[in-house]
Amino acid sequence: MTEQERPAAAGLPHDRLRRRYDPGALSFRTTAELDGLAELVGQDRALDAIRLAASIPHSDFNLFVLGPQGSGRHSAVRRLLSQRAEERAAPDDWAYVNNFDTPHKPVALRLPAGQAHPLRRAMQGLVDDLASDIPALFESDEYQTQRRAIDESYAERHESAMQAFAEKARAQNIALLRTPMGFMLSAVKDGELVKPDDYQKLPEDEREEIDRKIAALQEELSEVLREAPRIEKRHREEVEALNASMAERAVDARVAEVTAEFGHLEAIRRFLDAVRADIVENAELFLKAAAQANEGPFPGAVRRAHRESVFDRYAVNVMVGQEADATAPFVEEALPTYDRLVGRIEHVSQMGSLVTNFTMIRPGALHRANGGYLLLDARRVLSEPYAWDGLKRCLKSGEITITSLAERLSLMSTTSLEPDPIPLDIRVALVGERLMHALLVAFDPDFSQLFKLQADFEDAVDTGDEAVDAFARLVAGHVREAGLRPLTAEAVARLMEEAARLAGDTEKLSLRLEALSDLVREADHYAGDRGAEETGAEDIARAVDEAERRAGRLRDRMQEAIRRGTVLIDTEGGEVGQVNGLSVISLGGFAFGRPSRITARARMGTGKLVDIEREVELGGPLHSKGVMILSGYLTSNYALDAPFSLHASLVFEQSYGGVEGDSASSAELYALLSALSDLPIDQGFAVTGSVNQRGEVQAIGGVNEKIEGFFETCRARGLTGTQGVLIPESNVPHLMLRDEVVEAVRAERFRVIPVRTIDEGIEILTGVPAGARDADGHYPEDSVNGRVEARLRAFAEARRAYAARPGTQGAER
Amino acid sequence: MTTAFRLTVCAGSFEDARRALALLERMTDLPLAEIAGVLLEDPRHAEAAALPHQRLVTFGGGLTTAPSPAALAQRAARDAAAFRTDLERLAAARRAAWRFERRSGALAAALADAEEMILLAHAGALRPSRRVVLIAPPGGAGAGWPLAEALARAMGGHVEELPAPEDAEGREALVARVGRMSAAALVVARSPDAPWPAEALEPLVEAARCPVLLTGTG
Repeated sequence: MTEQERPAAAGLPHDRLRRRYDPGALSFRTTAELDGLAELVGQDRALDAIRLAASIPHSDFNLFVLGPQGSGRHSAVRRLLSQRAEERAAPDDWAYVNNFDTPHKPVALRLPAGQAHPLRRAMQGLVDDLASDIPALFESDEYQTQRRAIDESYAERHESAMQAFAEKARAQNIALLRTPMGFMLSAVKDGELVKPDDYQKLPEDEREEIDRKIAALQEELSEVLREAPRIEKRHREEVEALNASMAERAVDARVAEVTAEFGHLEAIRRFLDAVRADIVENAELFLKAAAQANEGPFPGAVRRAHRESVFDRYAVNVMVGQEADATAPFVEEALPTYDRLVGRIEHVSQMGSLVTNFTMIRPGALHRANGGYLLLDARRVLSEPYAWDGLKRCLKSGEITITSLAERLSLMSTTSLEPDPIPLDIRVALVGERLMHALLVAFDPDFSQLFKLQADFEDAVDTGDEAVDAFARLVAGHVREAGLRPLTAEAVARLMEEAARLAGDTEKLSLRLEALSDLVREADHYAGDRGAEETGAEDIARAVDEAERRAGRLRDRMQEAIRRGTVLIDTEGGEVGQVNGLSVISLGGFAFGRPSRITARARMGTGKLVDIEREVELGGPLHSKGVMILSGYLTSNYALDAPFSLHASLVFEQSYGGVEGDSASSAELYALLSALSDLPIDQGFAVTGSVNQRGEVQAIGGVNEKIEGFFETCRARGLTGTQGVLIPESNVPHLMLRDEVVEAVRAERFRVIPVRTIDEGIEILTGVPAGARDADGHYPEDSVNGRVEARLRAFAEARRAYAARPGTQGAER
Repeated sequence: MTTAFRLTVCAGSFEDARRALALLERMTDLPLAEIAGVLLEDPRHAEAAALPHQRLVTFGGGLTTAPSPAALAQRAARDAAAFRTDLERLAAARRAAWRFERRSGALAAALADAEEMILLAHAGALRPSRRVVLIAPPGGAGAGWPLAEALARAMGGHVEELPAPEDAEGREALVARVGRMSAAALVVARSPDAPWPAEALEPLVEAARCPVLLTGTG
């Protein structure tokens, strides 16, 4: 059948190919007249979830914010949570102080909001004051006198004992000799020591008397000398008691000053008691520091003693300290590593070892947000080692426990700390993609327990007067905030068309605010180029075109390959078993359509429908499913009383990448029907749409890009007026075609033809009626279906005859 | 003080000498022209050790057998070598001349041929006080007072002056008093008006049980 003989298939009128927004229907001339919109449009479901998360008290109602990127999720949750935070009172302060009994277990102090920093300063002042008070007290005449009296008293005790012994020995005519090794006693006679020879000459009783005296005196001397350390110990104890009583006088006075300010808090009172006791016990620290200070460059009055590491034991390490007039915190952590979330314990190297103390505990985001809200990016949290695990652990336990990651991984074996855990009262909001949310729900049992709320942001909003008004106000607020030129009503209308295009639906406006914002900003620039005070529709249109042009290099090269015949695509004439299919290629945020030649070949066989893409593993499962559906269609529509004896093959010609999706399944079926019926398909058409086993053509995605892709190919060769694209009728509401396509259709140079069934489509493509079964169940002989059925019967018959031939039974497979 | 002194350090053991030399090391404002070191070996020690049933009472109060003459001699040799080494080091640091000798005898031997100042070394008590006792003659301590002050400064203490006795009874009372005092050091300022012969010094030195610095002559 010639081209002239084929009935012209009716296409959609041009006004159904793109929804136009009438700027005259808008109630403003420019967006400068409009107030901005406080909240996002069309996101009530998500915003209500965020509000609930912000106010519900239960600890496990944390929030996951999901939705497409650029939908304003981050800014919406940030705004709502920070607003709510400002309405709530500031939480308590937290600090770590020394545990004097068990230094490796620092004590967490809870303080009323705003008290931690004053306490820290008060303790610094206490140390500075005592650094001068204690040395002054120990240098005072009062102390020196008392100390000297004690020292001399004890010293004289031993000396008196030795002198008394010496006098006693002398009275018994025994001399006390001090040798390098110790003392010896020897008899004295006539003022001289008795020599051994002389001793032997003495009468026995005299010798015995001497021996007895010396032995007794040796024992006595031994006792005197052994008493010396005991005397020294008592001396030391009395000095310590004196030191303690002196230190207490200084410490009590200064500690009382701090107690007067903070002592109404039980925890601080206990802390101050422990500080007092420790200072009294370790007063020498202040004396040593004073001695070192005297050697330093600065006079004592200027020196800040609290900065010396020896006094770290009295420091207050503020983890969370609220300022005056503070409210509940809202914290956003952009780099949620384990340490930055949970906190960390730092170490310093000393003499080759790593050491730490409670002053080296550093807070994390959980500390800073405690009592308020914490906003995190889900992908970043999950990307950081142990960050997700650490976050969950704290949320589950309801407290922040700081542990060293290096110690946990056994990378470091050194003294570390076990700080008191700090109770956690927080609402965490994670922002992430839908896929991430689905994976967490499916594979992390903790997730659903801890994140019971989800704020699911819409991709698009239903259009209507209210939505249009809200959209315009949203734009007005954005351009005002960004310092851009106001948009004219025409520009807003043009922008709404683009929003509909992004939504892929004439009944909706896209909520991909980031993409729309990019357009508006680029359009503002073009408006500035032409010296305009306002951004007009032409600027929006130019921004759209320029963005496409920048991203369209690959699209243009592909069209060039078609134009030059490198890629074979026919756009006129007829071919049996060949049809133009359509696919969409997405690169980042840019998608474009391109035609592909689909061919089908058929012969007698055993009922196999070969999808060549699937055979070489270039076809994805959805594509394979679509092809298998064709078998179902064929076997349920034709030659029902004969075995299915077809061997057919389908291929996307010149396609060397993967093929996925079933949007080309109707095109494949058309090619197959053409091959079976031996009727040529008009190559001036391209086809898109998936098909079910009943032959119904179903909606597909990317319909605008696909149509535009084939249009571009035809336009490059010169439109004939008979070319067009067959689309599923259910895709008509999604049409937002570019102006040049609409214009071509208006000029009857191109067509967009919706179809509901395969029969409708095959009629248009072949120009031959599809045919319906009559009362006897037969298709009209010359119809497409009739010819297909006849061919299939012929295959079945030929196969039966082949099988009946001698020597061929069982040979077929 | 600007006059450089010639000083004799007399010690019965290296422990005593070491304390004395350490004290001199701290007395940086005492100019020294010459330091003489004398290790005094008292022969009475060997004689007392040879007595039957003799026992040694250690400085810690332990009772043990008396050392043999050989042990005493060996100890003396070791102490002499160590004393000599430390003396040489101190003299080099103070840029003073030095000499060392071993002498046999008691206090009288120490006083013979002594320089103008004599430091009778003693290790001192377990924890001495910081009091330096100066025994000054009626006419004034002369160089004794600044020396006592220098000692006190080196020890971180103060000077307490006692009048020199005028007679034997006074000396006896002084010995009894000094024996019961805890002193870091004793400075005896000798003069022709207040001589201190060896027989009078000996009980005082024994009772002091601390380093004794003899100044002046007489």
